[in-house]
Amino acid sequence: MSQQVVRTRFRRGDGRVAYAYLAPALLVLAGLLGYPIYQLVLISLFDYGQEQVSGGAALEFLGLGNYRALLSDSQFWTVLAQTVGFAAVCVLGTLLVGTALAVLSTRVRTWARTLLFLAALGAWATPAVAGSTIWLFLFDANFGFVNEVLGTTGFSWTYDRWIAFGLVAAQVIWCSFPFVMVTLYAGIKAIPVEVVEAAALDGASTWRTARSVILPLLRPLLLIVTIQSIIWDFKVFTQIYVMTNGGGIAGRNLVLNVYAYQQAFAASQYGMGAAIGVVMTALLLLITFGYLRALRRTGEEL
Amino acid sequence: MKRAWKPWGAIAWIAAVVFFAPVAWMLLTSLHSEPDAATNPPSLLAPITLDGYAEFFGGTGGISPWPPLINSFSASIGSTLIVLLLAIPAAYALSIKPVEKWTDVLFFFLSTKMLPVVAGILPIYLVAQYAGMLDNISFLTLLYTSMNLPIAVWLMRSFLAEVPKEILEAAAIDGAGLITILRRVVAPVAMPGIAATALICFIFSWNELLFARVLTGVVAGTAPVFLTGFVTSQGLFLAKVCAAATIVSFPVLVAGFAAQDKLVQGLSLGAVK
Repeated sequence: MSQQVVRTRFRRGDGRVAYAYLAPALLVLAGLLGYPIYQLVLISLFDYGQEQVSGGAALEFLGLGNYRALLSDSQFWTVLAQTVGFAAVCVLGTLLVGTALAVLSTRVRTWARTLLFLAALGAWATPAVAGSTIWLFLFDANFGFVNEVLGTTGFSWTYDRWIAFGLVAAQVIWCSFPFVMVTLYAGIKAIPVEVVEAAALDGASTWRTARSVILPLLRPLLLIVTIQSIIWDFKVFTQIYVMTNGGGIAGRNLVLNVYAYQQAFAASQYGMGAAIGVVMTALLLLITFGYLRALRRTGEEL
Repeated sequence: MKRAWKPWGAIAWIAAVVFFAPVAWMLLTSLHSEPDAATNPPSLLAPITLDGYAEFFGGTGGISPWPPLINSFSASIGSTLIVLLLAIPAAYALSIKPVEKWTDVLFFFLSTKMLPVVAGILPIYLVAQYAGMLDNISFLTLLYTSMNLPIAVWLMRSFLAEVPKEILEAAAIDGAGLITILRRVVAPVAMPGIAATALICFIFSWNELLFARVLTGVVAGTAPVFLTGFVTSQGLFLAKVCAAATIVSFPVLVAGFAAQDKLVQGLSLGAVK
């Protein structure tokens, strides 16, 4: 109640100040990202290839032609379905592993925690290209360490379409869980000790404290790591590119981002590549917006 | 309660070992001679040598890795500092001063992250070309700033949202200005959050590959670009490649441990009351 009064008093006359604090960030973003987005949409409306970039041929306006071609291409729909499924698995896996390890780190001794952080940082620090290559070596059919341990020498982890997807998903989870872990760990640590102690004094069990005290406080952070994971995993590029050798046999391990790359750069159809980019952005907007709406409907304050 | 750590401790050790395995493999291979590295799995007993590292830095006729490493440092540290400078006031405005419809503002910040890099790269290339900023580390720094700004604002806002409002409002009502509030009240309380955000921005910039690859050349190339070229040209020399990957990963590990100190700093309201 009293907080409400203070907040209302705050709002008056302070709005402008608040916008002033926001303005620099907004301006930088609008300038550096707004213009490229505008350009992207523009390019997607043209037949824009290598010749047009070098000025060798005139631009041909296609209107929605690129989009029409894209939406009537059956490969696009397959790739889209794969991308959604693949991203969903990666997001769930990343969140599960990241959250579990963040909670675990708050409950173990310094030594074990340091070790966990070392493992997380190691995974995070390894550049995607190197990480993917290392995983390929570890899972190599004939000489791989994993096959050696499992006694399955000769088994190819990258031949079967779904096993290959699974392996790439595991790699993606491996290099993205540290973000979730570090963020949530910092979030848990930032909760004032008194808040948790008060709950314990009131006789709340550990589980109860976690659910009714810690979880609500972490909700904004959980929201971010979820949305950020959705955005990333929808746009996975390096891992698929390296581990399935550019999208697998006959492109059966393609995801949208690699598909866009192939269309735009390998085939020099920048207009088509841009159209895929616009469609991806629109899809991501829809998914995250739907997610936000769903959350708001359950009455959770973001 | 006191004994509860025991099973958790064991799980933590196992998890750490499993998740660290690929990195351990990389480290081990980087310390072997090329013939030993070629045996997969690596033999634990093979003699240790620093040849891979010597080759990477000394370069038998190769290119020095120092300029790319320095480029990466300036782009990552520079953009992280700018991001924090812009994001902390913005997050403060969003979490404490109730800006009307702030969720919309946040969503705007967020939506800029959705542009797939592969598709966005051509327009950005054209902008850089037009501005004469191709192969320029300042342009890359700016680009990384805009890349990390949305996530930084979101993260900082959430961390600040955990700070009890009463403290901040009391400070504001007492007439403290933005800088004073941020320095004296927000910073101490939100330190784990600031550390995490800074670390995250640093890592994202450090590991960024696609922009760097398309927008830079000989002058402003970054470490991941160098590494990718190295993998392509020296791919058969496992030890050398692993040494290179280790060197490129190293700064992130250092940054991580520097930040971990601040992350772990348990926080007590007693300090600010």
